[in-house]
Amino acid sequence: MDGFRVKFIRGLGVLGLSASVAWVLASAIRARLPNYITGLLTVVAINSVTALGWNLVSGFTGQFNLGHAGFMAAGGYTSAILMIRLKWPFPVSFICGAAFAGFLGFLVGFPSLRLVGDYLAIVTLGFQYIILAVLNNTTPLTGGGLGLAGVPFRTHLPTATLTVVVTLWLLSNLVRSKQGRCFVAVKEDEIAAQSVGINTTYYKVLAFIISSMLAGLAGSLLGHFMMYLHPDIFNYLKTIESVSMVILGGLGSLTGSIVGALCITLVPEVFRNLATFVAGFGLMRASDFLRRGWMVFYALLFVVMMLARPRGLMGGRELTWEGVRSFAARLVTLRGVRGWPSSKSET
Amino acid sequence: MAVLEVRNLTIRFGGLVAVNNVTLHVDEGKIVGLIGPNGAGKTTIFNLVTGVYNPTRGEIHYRGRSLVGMKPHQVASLGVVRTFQNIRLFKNLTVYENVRTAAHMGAKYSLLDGLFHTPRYHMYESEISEWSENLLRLLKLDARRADIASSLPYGVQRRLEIARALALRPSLLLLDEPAAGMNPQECRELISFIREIRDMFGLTIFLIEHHMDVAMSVSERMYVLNFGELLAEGTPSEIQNDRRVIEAYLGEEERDAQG
Amino acid sequence: MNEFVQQVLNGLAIGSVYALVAVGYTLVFGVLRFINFAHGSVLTFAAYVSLFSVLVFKVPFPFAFGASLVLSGLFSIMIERQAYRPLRARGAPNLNLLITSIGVSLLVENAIIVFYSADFFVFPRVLPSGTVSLLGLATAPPIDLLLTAVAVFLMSALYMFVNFSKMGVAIQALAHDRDAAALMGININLTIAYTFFIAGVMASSAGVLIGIKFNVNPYLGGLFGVKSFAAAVVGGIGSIPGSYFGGYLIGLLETMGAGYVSSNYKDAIAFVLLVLILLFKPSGLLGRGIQEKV
Repeated sequence: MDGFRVKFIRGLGVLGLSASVAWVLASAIRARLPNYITGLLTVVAINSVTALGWNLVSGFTGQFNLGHAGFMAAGGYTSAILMIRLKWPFPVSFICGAAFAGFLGFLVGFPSLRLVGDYLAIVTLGFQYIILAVLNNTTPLTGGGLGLAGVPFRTHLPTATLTVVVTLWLLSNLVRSKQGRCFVAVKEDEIAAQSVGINTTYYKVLAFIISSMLAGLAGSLLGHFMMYLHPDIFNYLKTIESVSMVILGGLGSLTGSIVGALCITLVPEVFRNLATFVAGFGLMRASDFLRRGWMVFYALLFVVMMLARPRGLMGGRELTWEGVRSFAARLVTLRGVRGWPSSKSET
Repeated sequence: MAVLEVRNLTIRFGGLVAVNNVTLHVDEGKIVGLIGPNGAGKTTIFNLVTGVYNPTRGEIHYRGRSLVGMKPHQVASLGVVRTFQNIRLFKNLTVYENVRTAAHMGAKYSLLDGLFHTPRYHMYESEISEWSENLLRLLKLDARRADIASSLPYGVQRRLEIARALALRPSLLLLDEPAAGMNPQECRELISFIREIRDMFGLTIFLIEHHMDVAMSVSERMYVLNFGELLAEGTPSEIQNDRRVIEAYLGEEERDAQG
Repeated sequence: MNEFVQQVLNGLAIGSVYALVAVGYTLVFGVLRFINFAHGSVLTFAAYVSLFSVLVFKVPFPFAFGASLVLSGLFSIMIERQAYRPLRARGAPNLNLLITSIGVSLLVENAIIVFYSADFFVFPRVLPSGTVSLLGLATAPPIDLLLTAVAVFLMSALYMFVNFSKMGVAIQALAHDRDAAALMGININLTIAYTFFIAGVMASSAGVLIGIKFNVNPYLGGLFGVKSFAAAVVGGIGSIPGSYFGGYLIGLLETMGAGYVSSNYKDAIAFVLLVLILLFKPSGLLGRGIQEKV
């Protein structure tokens, strides 16, 4: 038992150490770098939490969730309303937002996850529309279509980064436990999973609830970052954003989700800044095209990733130092385009 | 003592009676065969026992406990574990991961233990690692532990599926056509393999087999199913000389020859 | 009473749209067992093709309508060939197909915005203005009548095709059991192409007509597509009559709900119905359950 206790304490130590490093780094960035960069990194952190949540239910458990933004809205609004109307302290509202989103996850997930096939995708998509309709029509409480202004600013870069670190630690523990293996078994083959005694409905609902809670956390971070909430923030495209991050980083790769969040958040900024830069030389058309070009690039990403690298940029692996080195080597030799589909592969 | 007792089992799919009034029992520590022509309802009986289907009528008792109405995962967790006719592995996982996933039953820790990797988590995880390693060694799969399941040769996939079933420490193992697609040499190996695992793990084995010779040599007792009904039961030599069984099989061969 | 008849008429018109689109989801689901999220974008595509034909190339509307049906059918086939078939050939999981189809729908939407315009276009006048009086009970704009008529015509044509043509029977066989169909000598890829073509034609007829009824914009296929999918599931996915039934049911409930209760929740009605159906009759109102073979 002593050896096991040592391992446990070592695990907590890893968490403590990485949390402290992240906090110090994030505080330094916040103190030294321009607000623009700090803000951008905060968004990356928020998106990482969202993407991690989506990855757990869809990448690991194989259940396609298209209502992720609906759960973000639930968390964001709950936390904001508790702080504004009831004057609850931030940590409590923050946790309550996540808990409420998780509860909704249970309500939606329990009936729909008993069904086989892709029904979950459509039920969750429907759920998102229902949430938006409710938010739009409960003006006294949520501000409705006018939005909810005056959400207290609480999401500093260190707070957001800390959330990412803790989430990543918990999830990487979870996927390396029996629960995580059962999630993957459900994705691989539900009937086989049942045959080895795995209660597939239980694990699907569990993954769904945890994922909804993470969406709720992220939604509440977002609200306390933008200091404003509006139903349209949490539309279908917000869900699709998480999907794009996860497929870029790899379905079933936790560090991949963070890499994905980083790319999907920063690359459009690069496009945007480039467009402004080009416009400075009077090349208005090129500038305009660059600004919009991201949209086509973004949409193509889904199709191309699924055809050429269905397991994500990192091939479904986790990010390790060794992996970074071999990826760099691959970039140098330009072997990345190898997987491009050819007409020969059709039958 | 009977481990599995099935009484008057019947299931109807629409107008089709797939299994009709079947009564059979499987005794502790025995290898019992279930044979019959294609479409006789053998796999349906397995599906009924393991909770995939609910019977229209009849009883299924495992060690005195009724299995009717239980979900497949509940039946499996009681110790009744099966394999599938067309192998259902976790295809994209390694050999080791397949077995370790199935060993989850031995890990009695909660979600919180899993999230925080508590001492309890580490204790049970080291236990199931050891158990999985042992299984791989015993079933001679350890050389392939890091291979992806779908990349394995057919025969090894079958062995892995059995290893995965054994990871649950079952007491009754249901094998659905374990010899399917095997050549005579592999069939002979399979026969001794089935006996070995029975003795090694103290199992009771109930198996469906289409290969007559495999079924005859491995089973200690047999049931013959035809058109959903029980045609005969007895020791292999009794079955071999049963006129009705010969007719059922000859009849099938004639039909095959014509078709 | 007149008010009620009026609501029913409105409901039938919008229900025709849902029915025409829903049947495409059902057909494709039947042969490929996946939700084709890009189905709605075929509808958007059709609206733009007919808009261009009339506006830019000055083609008379009936020809423009016909051309956009055929072109959208081909567009639908192209999506299948370029995006789905390589994945199918590789035996990729359903999740990857779903994500690809979402990508295709985004691509169509964003390509229109980037290379053309994000504006909403009002369709040029191609139908007589004013309303038509029906037996003095109610009135309807000509577009509603055209929508319902086209829907009835195409549904009957599809019924004939599926039941009495060789290819139609092949589609049914494929939906029933793909392996057996292949063994019987059915050309799987050709049958799938036909299925996508028909699904595309049905959806694009709805696309052109809602373009005229409302306006033409890049997001046209989005909400209509999703609600039509809800209609297909409510009616019973895999069942052609079921998707018609689901389409008209949602169309009627939506207009009734908006007319008599509140229009605030109009867009949520389809989804509330969907959730209720999945809770109490997961196979849909007219569908049979789909069970995986063990």
